[in-house]
Amino acid sequence: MANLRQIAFSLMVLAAYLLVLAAPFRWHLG
Amino acid sequence: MLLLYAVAAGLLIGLATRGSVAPLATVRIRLWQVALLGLAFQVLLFSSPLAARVGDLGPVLYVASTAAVFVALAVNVRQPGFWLIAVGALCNLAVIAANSGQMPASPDALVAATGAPFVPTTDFSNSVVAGPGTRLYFLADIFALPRPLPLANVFSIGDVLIALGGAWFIVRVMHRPVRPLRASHG
Repeated sequence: MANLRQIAFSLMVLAAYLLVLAAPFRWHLG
Repeated sequence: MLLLYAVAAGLLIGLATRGSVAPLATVRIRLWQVALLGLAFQVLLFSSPLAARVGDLGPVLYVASTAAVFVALAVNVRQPGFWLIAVGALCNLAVIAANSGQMPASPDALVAATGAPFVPTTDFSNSVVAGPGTRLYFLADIFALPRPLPLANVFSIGDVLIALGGAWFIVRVMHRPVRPLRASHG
């Protein structure tokens, strides 16, 4: 279970990098 | 959003090539807190209450928070694919900086993604419709994931590089050998 949490955490951190650097927010949250 | 497709594609390719998700549990990324804080900050920045009031500070806060996350990425450049993410991020930052802190989007791409050739908000947005005065147009949002695809949106060459780098990171990590835990002999 701890392993799954670590996998999810790694993917979440990667997604955070991608989401900020690819600037996709645009109008979706506006 | 191209990026979420990239994460899914990375996982699928990794599994299809007999990789395992287990090594993803062993990844150690430095300054990960900056990435999560940067994301949380930008979600707030582009949400209604703040986006409506931020005014001229918007582009400054946006570029500064993105630059901070870029630095937090750069310190991890030895991770697989991160150099490609960094190149894509520099492409995006270059065109954003050259256009007063906003990413230009081609009207055609906007029509394909949203059905209308304008940015549908009057609040602060990091997107602006490209025009004759747009600089570095080739790095702008000139492509689109068209409707009715889920997560339809416009995207740039930099976004493509970032997506490829993210998928590459996942595939490479999934093929790392998993070290078996050694039994303790006391």
